[in-house]
Amino acid sequence: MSDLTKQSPLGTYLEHCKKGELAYQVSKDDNKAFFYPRAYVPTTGSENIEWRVSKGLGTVYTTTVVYMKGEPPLNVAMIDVDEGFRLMSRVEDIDPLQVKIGMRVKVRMHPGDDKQPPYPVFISLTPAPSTVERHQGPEGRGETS
Amino acid sequence: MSSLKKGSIAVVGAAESDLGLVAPHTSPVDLMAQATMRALDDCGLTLKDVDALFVAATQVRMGPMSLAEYLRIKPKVFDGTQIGGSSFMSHLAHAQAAIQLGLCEVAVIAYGSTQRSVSRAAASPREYNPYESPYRPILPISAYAMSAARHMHQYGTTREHLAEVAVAARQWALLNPKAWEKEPLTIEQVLNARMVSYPFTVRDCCLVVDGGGAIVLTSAARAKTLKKKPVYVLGVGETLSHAYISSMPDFTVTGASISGPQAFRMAGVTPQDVSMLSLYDAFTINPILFLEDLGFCPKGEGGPFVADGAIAPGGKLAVNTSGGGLSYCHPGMYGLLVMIEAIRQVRGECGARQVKNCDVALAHGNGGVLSSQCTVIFGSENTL
Repeated sequence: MSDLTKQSPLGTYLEHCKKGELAYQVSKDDNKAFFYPRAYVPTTGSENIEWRVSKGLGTVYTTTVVYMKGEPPLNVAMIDVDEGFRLMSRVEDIDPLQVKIGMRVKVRMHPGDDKQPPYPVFISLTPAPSTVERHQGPEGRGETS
Repeated sequence: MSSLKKGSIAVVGAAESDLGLVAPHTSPVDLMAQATMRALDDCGLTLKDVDALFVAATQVRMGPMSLAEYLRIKPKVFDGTQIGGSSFMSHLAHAQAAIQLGLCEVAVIAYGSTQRSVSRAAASPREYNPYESPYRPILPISAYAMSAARHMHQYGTTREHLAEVAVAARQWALLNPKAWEKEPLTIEQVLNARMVSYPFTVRDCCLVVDGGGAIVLTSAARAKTLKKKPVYVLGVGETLSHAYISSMPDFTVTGASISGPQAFRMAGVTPQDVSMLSLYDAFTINPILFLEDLGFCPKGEGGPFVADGAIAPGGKLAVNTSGGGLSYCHPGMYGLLVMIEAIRQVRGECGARQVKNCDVALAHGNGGVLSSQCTVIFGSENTL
């Protein structure tokens, strides 16, 4: 039985983050992964849940670059993790405009700070294109300055 | 099991509040009340006739209470369903159920916002989400931008296609005296405007203005006794697919693919019968997604569908004739104004932007981050 007076789904998730682990949940009834962490399996309502630690490999499902006044451009992306769940994150070792849909990525834990607990970000496993043309593709990224 | 019946209720009154930038210290409830009184005047009813009240707004947490207090009325039926910008289409469906059941007879749906006056941050603060907020997306813009990026990747949709939507909206807006934007806009201006969240520039994003609206609904029988020609509710459909963008199942397919067919089934019409569409265009990707999901073109072909001025004045399909949320008015939850334009088109009140013989108009609402989708099909007496 879940006992939310003792332990919360987010609390467990953050404990893993503090250890440098991207944790997720699996419904033991059908072995399907889900994210974000919950006290009950979505759709079935089952409590037959197992926490697992991801290997941290994934693929960019979609991506954007946000432009905030007085700050450098920042990537925001949705990552399809290999174990079968999706989360919002960012790819942070390359130019935000070079983050491409389909790019392979690997997790690393951002340490956070006083106010923000550690949170997972990703680094690119696909080499960034050497020229603008190479990965331009249908999303037309080469158009922006 | 009984169900909602085509044509059982009609819109008899419709009005905007003042739009754009209102006087300092105007409240969202002032605007709701103003729109309500104008909508009642539109049909010749008074506050004494109103026995149901439907209200949602971002600045008023308990809308039905606030507007009932302001107007000092005691509605028998009230509903404050809050699912973002499409709330009012959902209210309409709930009002239809209540009127059909005889729980009430005259329903008002009202909305007001002063987001331009007080700032968007003050008018619509975001909830903290531990799985999204650390990444600092600019919401809702970045959510729609990621849908657009995926659509571009999967189907070859281009930034020019997106810009076509903004340019068409501007051309319609120039025909609407109430529209906020008064100057022409080109594809190049959209593409070269300030980037906000790739692939969206500021011109791919809706206006941030003050405004509100109200509509009055009653039974088909009573509607026939009032001032103006009734605009019948032919079909409604509503669905929820997620709350936060991280949980959207497929970023290129919206719940309009569920709400649309529901509404068409109830109405007994098809996309070919629709003369005009009013689509919730918070961002330029929205009409492209909704044209696909509502069955006006195959999935993935929305970009080419809107190209070459196809949804602009004189194009092959009249979409967002008011100028839309992109160029006419977007007070934050735009759905009520989406319906008002469709209602006016069926009435034939749209002047220079009037669509000829507009017997069937579709209003589609969107809420959250492509999260709630609600479709309403309106028709003239000829369609019953």
